Formats: sequence, C-alpha cells, structure tokens
Amino acid sequence: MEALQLVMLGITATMLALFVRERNKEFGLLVSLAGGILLITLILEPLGTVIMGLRGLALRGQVSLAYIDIVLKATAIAFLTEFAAQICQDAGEGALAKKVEAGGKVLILLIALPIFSSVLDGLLALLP
Amino acid sequence: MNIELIFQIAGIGILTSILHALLKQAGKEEYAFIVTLAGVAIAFIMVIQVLSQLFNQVKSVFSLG
Repeated sequence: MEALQLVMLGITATMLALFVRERNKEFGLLVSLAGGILLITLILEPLGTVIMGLRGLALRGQVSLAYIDIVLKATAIAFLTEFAAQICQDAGEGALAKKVEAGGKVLILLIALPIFSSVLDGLLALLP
Repeated sequence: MNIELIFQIAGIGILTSILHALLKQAGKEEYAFIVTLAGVAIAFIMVIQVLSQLFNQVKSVFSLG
C-alpha cells in the first residue's frame, strides 16, 4: 500500500532530519535530501503508469506525441528544480534557491520554443 | 532503493557529532573539525550516488534523454 509507505517514510524522515539538524546542520540537510530522494523513488513507479496512461489518452485524442513529450519534459524539469530549490531554501540559501528556480524556468522556455513557433505558423496560415 | 539509507546517514551524522563533541572536550579542536568534514564527505558521497540513480530512473520514466 504505497500511500501508507509514503506517509510513514515522510514522517520518519522528518523526525530524523529534525533530530540530526539540531546537532549538525549539514547532516540535517543530507538526511532531509536523502529522505526526499527516497520519497520520490517510491512514487516513481505509479508515476510511470500515470504517464503511460496519459500517452494512451493522447494517442486516442490524436494529439501528436511530440507535444505530450514536451509537456512531460517541462513537468520533469519543474519537479526536479523545485526539489533542489526547496532543499536550498531549507538550508537558508534563499538566493541560491531562486537561481535554481530561474534556471529551471529558462530551460522550460527553451524546450517550449518549438511549440510557440508551431502556434505562430498555425496562426499565420489562418490569416488570408 | 533502500529505506535504510536515511537511517545510515542519520547514524553517521549522530556518530560524527558525538566524536566532534568528544574531541572538542579533549581539547583537539582541529581533529574535531577534520572528523566532521570526513563524516559530511562520506554521507554526501552516499547521497550523490542515490541521487544519480534517481535521475537515471526519472529519465527512463519520463523517457527524456
């Protein structure tokens, strides 16, 4: 039962991180980071199933798989950069967190550019 | 992916802080610092390994590149 595992792991990791952070800040961060990684690993398999389902839906709706892939890539980038940014913030490094987030936004814009140009092409084709 | 990872890292952290306190009390502050640094380095390497495993898995699940 994944929900139970998730809850137990989250609470245990929080307790440990809190305990260790008081003694030694760097280790507190490492415990929190390791806990986060384990939680993500736990949820990765159900997430894979969800993505397969989304792909299936896209095929049935006859949406080009390329677009779905771009959206999924953007989601993955957002997810990972938010994870890293939150770790930075927990450690008190708000400035670094913002830089990581900004980098993530730039990368997402980068992979979304083809969509913008496709939309523009479509609109220009509609004009007389 | 093993759940024991957090316990291992927490264990290393607590052990390191105990050693740090002991060495500090014995007057050897430099050794205390080196021990803490070594502990952080070891735990950090362990976390980085698991992190790279995670990234490979994420890449395969999202089928990026």
